[in-house]
Amino acid sequence: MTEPTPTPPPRPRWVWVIVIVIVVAAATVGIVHLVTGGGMAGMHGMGMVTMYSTGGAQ
Amino acid sequence: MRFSPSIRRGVLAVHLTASVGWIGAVLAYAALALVPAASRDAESARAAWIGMDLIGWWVIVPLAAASLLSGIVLSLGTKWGLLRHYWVAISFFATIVLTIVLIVLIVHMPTVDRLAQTARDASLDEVLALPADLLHPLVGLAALLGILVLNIIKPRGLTRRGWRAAQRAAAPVR
Repeated sequence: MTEPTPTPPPRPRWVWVIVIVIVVAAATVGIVHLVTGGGMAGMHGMGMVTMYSTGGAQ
Repeated sequence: MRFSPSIRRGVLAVHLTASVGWIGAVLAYAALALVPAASRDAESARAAWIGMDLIGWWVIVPLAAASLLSGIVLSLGTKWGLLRHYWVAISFFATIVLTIVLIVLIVHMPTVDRLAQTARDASLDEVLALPADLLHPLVGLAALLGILVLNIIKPRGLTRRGWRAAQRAAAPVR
């Protein structure tokens, strides 16, 4: 008679909670970036920083 | 390989110093980030941007790297392992994302670099027109505090890899 193969325990509930929190936080930050035109990174992406640093805004 | 108690304490001291120092540095960065966001004083904003650039490269980045490396060494030299427990694995991946992806390479420091350079050279009106940067340190701070809480509580839960290792260790030697 063979012994039954042990199966690993399911993931603890707190792991799923953390995964959901991370996903929601990442989505929120992403939406904020989109809504505000990307925030700081968006300003850079739109060329604002380059414009200022080359004097183009004057 | 397991560390001797004295080596483990030494690596733990380095890890705690780097990790808690990282949180402190982000708080200092956030305090400076408040200045361009809230003040209409262009000279203060210019100084704040230069300070944020210096804190970022000379304090936050080295401490983040030290925290990541010492955490890896500590986990591999103790019973916890790097990928055996969920709390260690989650802390590890979150630290990697924060350090490599967000801070150094893609999102943050290259942009702060350019903004600080702009603040050095631009006129006062242009300095005041620069965008604020409060979101990034606040999100980073929240993530770091989450990792800190996880590391203090050390919630139970073996990964599949950890579970297999525990099964092998518990199996009778034939």
